[in-house]
Amino acid sequence: MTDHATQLPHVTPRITINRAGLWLFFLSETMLFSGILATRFSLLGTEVHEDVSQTIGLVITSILLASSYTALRAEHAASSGDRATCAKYLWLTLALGAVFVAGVAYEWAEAFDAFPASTEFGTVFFLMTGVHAFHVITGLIFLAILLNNARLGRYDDDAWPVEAGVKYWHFVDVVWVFFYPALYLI
Amino acid sequence: MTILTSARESPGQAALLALAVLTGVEYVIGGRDITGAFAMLTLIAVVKAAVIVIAFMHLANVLRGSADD
Repeated sequence: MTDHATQLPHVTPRITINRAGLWLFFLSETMLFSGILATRFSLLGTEVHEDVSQTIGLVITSILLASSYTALRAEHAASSGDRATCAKYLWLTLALGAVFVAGVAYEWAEAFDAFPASTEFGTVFFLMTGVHAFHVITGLIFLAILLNNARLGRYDDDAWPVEAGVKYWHFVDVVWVFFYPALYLI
Repeated sequence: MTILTSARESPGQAALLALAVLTGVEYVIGGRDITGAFAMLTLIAVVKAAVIVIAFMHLANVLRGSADD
């Protein structure tokens, strides 16, 4: 019986290919978010609406950053086969992500009166927060699926799905790192 | 002291601490009329993104083509 794998000069591990594919996806998403960020500065310059709440911005930003840390802990737990810890940190990440979305929803309720979508700032604000929140909600759905599967032990041998979902969550966090000052501070 | 010690022991905690400090600095700069605030906030955002990409997303593994976690 010939072992074909040993005849090949180099076999790239599946995980390496998966990671490269995921980062290419992030690159394509970066183009979308860069375009939105460029639109914001093109339309508004360095203006920020006075009714934007810097406190809410700070609170939801802190929550999202903290959720990235809990997501990292979930990934580490999954890679070391610790099912219970992975599930615990995925729960925490889900909860923090849900609080972030609730914060954005609260901000939207205030924003509809202060700067409606028909105004220039309103258009930019709802576009940026809306597209980002859509990605956060998508991430929450991913995390919920991961949590369910992790509890059933489906990642005991292969933690790649958890790594991919968590990295997507980090990416959404990176996007917000640029959106936060552009919307609330500059 | 305990926070700093544990941050040294865990890169994830150190990154979180750095992000918290930088976010606080951002908030202070944003709330005041400081010359060059735009440049400072842009620089801080780039540093924060780099911290997440390097410490949380392990970009080095992809660049090296490593199969390690």
